[in-house]
Amino acid sequence: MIVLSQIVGIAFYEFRMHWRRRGLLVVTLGMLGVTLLPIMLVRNELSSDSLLGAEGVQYFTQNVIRIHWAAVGAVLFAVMPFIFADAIPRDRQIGVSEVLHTTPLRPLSYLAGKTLGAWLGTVTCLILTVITSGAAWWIVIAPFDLSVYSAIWISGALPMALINVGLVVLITSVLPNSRTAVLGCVAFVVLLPILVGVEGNGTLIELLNPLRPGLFFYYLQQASPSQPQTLSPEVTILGGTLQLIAAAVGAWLWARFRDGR
Amino acid sequence: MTDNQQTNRITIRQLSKTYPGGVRALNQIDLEINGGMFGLIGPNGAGKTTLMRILAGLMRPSQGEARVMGHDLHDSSGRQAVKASLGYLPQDLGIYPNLTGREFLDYIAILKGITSSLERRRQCDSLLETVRLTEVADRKVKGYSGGMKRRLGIAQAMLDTPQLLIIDEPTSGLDPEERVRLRTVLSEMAKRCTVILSTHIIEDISQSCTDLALMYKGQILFRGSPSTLIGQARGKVWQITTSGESPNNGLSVVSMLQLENGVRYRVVGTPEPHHEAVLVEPSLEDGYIWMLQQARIAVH
Ligand SMILES: Nc1ncnc2c1ncn2[C@@H]1O[C@H](COP(=O)(O)OP(=O)(O)OP(=O)(O)O)[C@@H](O)[C@H]1O
Ligand SMILES: [Mg+2]
Repeated sequence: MIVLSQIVGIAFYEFRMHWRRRGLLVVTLGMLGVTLLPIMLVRNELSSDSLLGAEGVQYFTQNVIRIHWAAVGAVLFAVMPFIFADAIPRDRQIGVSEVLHTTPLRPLSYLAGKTLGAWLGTVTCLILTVITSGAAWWIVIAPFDLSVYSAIWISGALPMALINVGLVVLITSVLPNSRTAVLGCVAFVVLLPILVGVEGNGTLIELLNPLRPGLFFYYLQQASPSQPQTLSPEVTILGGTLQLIAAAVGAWLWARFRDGR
Repeated sequence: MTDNQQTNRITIRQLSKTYPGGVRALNQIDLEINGGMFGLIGPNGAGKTTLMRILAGLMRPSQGEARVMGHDLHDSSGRQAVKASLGYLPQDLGIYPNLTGREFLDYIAILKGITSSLERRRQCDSLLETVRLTEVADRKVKGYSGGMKRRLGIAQAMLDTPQLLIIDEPTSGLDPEERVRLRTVLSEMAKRCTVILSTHIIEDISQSCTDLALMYKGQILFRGSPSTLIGQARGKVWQITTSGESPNNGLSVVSMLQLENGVRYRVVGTPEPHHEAVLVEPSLEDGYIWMLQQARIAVH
């Protein structure tokens, strides 16, 4: 009971502080900007009666997916990790951790609370984007296939967000301050893809790529079929989940090792 | 648990701490602390914070034994058990700047294991009143003054009525009025739990502690009641009036007062006959200075 209340408490306050720090707000507005701007462009090129019927729906579905997915995928890959990179190192830098570590809070609850808080922030940001910009397309341009649209968010964007944000929070938990946390995040977002290859190649090594090619290119493929060969989304999600578990175990062992030193 | 451990809430034997860089911050300390208010004094770098951080379970000792309420601080489980009934105020407390004072207290209350939001609300309100922050409780902490942050830090340490309260320089940065108030609050707390406080303000100790330790270079130089420490300096404190020149040769000047026809010094040590010194009654500060003076002479 106490453990649960601690985890929820940390997550709740973490979420609240992230909004107050404006980072999440800026990312949400940014994502909305990237997805809403094309609406205006497409709208101008549209001669109202040229595209109707099933063909038109398919055409718009492809467009809406391509634009949304490319923008949101890129944000989840390259921007979102930075927002949450110093979730734990920041406590050390500010000096709050001195107090946190003299309460009965266990390391695992602390890690869980911080991760959950970051997830909560990311998911809120996603939901705001999905609904606002989906509604704008539907109303301003034309209806599209909702089942494809929601599948992309639920089985594409959501797992990608949870895996990347969770990994970053857990991995940076061993770092001493915000500056090193940002450097760690640069390594995760920039160096890792360079090392393992930016595009997917269908081998297990691509699971390490934070762009999650198995998700990113798979859903982009639904819009234009000439994309690289990648692992399936299922394998990508499974691989990401295993990495999350490994990172959690590593972070927990590290916290236990550091306890009292 | 033996009777001995029950009466001695904190038992420290041959405790040493060496930092990674090789600094020996604590050097084979023996100390027993019971209930009530216990003062830790000593010059900068004496090892007060190090000792308190070990007792709070933040740091492991390098050698020796440390037990708090029967729990061994070498074990992770022992440290965890101590944390269940501990209030701690670090020397440099950081507070999330984007939270309000009330939210910060609520956050710490959750971590301390108070699950009922009603109970948290009650405790936060009452503690905010105690440290007189009710008026600014809903303002962001980044807008607080240094003393306000300090008082918020004291409030968080007192959440969930701890059995052991460790507070590192609680009065630093507080105005005189607040310091006096805080002393009363802490004395009240000390009736119900063990309070260990470190300070550079000797007055805080003389007014509220029944027991104290004077630390110097990682060792305990003196351990006893404030009146015993005062007694150490009896016959060593003098008043000397000169036309302006400072009396030196081995004397420590405690205070000076500008007079119309010269300067009156209060000194600790053994003055020479030509000074025409007048013996005066020692204070706790004199006792502190006398002990340190003797320790420095012994080192040289
Ligand atoms: N993290 C650290 N790494 C290395 N040395 C340290 C560390 N913290 C403290 N020290 C050293 O340990 C000694 C004791 O420091 P400590 O902070 O315990 O003193 P203190 O009595 O609290 O002093 P102050 O009155 O200034 O707060 C000092 O010599 C200090 O330089
Ligand atoms: Mg100190």
